[in-house]
Amino acid sequence: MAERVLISTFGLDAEKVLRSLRWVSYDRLALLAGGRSAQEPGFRRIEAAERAAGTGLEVVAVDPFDFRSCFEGALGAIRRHRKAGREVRMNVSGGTKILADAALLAAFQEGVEVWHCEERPLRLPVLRGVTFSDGLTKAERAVLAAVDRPRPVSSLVARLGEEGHREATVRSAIAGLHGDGLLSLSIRRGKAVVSPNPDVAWFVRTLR
Amino acid sequence: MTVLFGTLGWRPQSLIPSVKSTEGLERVVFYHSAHEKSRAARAKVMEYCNALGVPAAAVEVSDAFNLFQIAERIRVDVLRARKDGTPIRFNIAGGTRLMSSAALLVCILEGIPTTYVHDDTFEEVHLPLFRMSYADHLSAKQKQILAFLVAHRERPPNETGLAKALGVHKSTMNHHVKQLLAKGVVEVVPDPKDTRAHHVRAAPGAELLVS
Repeated sequence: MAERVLISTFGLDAEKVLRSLRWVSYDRLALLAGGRSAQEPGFRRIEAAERAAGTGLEVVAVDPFDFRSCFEGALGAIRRHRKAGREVRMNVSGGTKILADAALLAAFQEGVEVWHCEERPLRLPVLRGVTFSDGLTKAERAVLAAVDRPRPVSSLVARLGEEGHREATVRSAIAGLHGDGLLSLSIRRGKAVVSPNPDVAWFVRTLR
Repeated sequence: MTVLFGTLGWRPQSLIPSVKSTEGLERVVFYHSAHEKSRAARAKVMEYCNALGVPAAAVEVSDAFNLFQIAERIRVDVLRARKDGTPIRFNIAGGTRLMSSAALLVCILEGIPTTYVHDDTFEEVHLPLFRMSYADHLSAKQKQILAFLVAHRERPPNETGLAKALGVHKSTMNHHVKQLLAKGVVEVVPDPKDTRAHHVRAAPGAELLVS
């Protein structure tokens, strides 16, 4: 059986993490937390518990008030443990709301089992193993990979045509990704140009 | 025209920036707890919306810590608003952590543009969301099984009963149940009256996956 890692959000309250340790089975614990949280008494309680269990405690430092930092920290931790062949679970009870929501989004994106352990344990309806990227068509993936900077739609269509994508499919993929807010469209010197949407470019990179 | 949905906690400032920034605002629907401070925040938001002449509906949730109950209520309201074809956006900044998570869950499952309001700067942050189309990852039969289990949550059947009810062979049902189990949307639990028998039941929150 694969080793199980529980990735948990953490702020100040150790009880929210300790509850999840009682309810969700795990072999290793990783905490997603702000830098100051590691100096709190709650952190020392969790650390002492893990030391007693003979396992190490991994801390992934994030800015708990910055959604992007929290999301990237959670996603990175999930992918790293998966790559090491571990089964990943997420608990989003601790820390700021931003941290919890970003971790929840990362868990959905990666198809990871996610729990809220407040007064009772709640497993959220995530389809295990199904990711956001699974919802993208081949053409949409190709467009996202190709649009790393502003590019005229006509040259993008031509380039992806060489890779075997039909023009109508590429145009439909561009329109769909624009509709989802993942890409921007503009007219420059009379030509339609597709660009990464700067607001969500960091998120799009995780889908490629 | 746009319908703005939101979760509200103790601070009206967590929702009001979205009221200000939504172009063509048709109406506002927001969810808050029965806490005195949350009611006070509701009054402020209502006062502001009234001043703008924007219709607003405040929904007081009976239990601000019951994630699935809140998510189901939000989903019903969102789907109703969607029927009219009006664009929707959701501000998930306010309320309890579970209210915010419930709203985010519905936004992911329904593909609703979502925003946050920063706690200190009151600046709106747009979350990069698009729809998690789970329906594409369940076969027609799997969806039918899940819908049946959701409808019979109070009296979950065993695999044989499930096969009979849905008119498929026992071994075929066993295959479907294994796949649903692997996806984490059903659970197989021992029958408390007969330790040799097992029941199949929908996982918590599976209601949100069944349209």
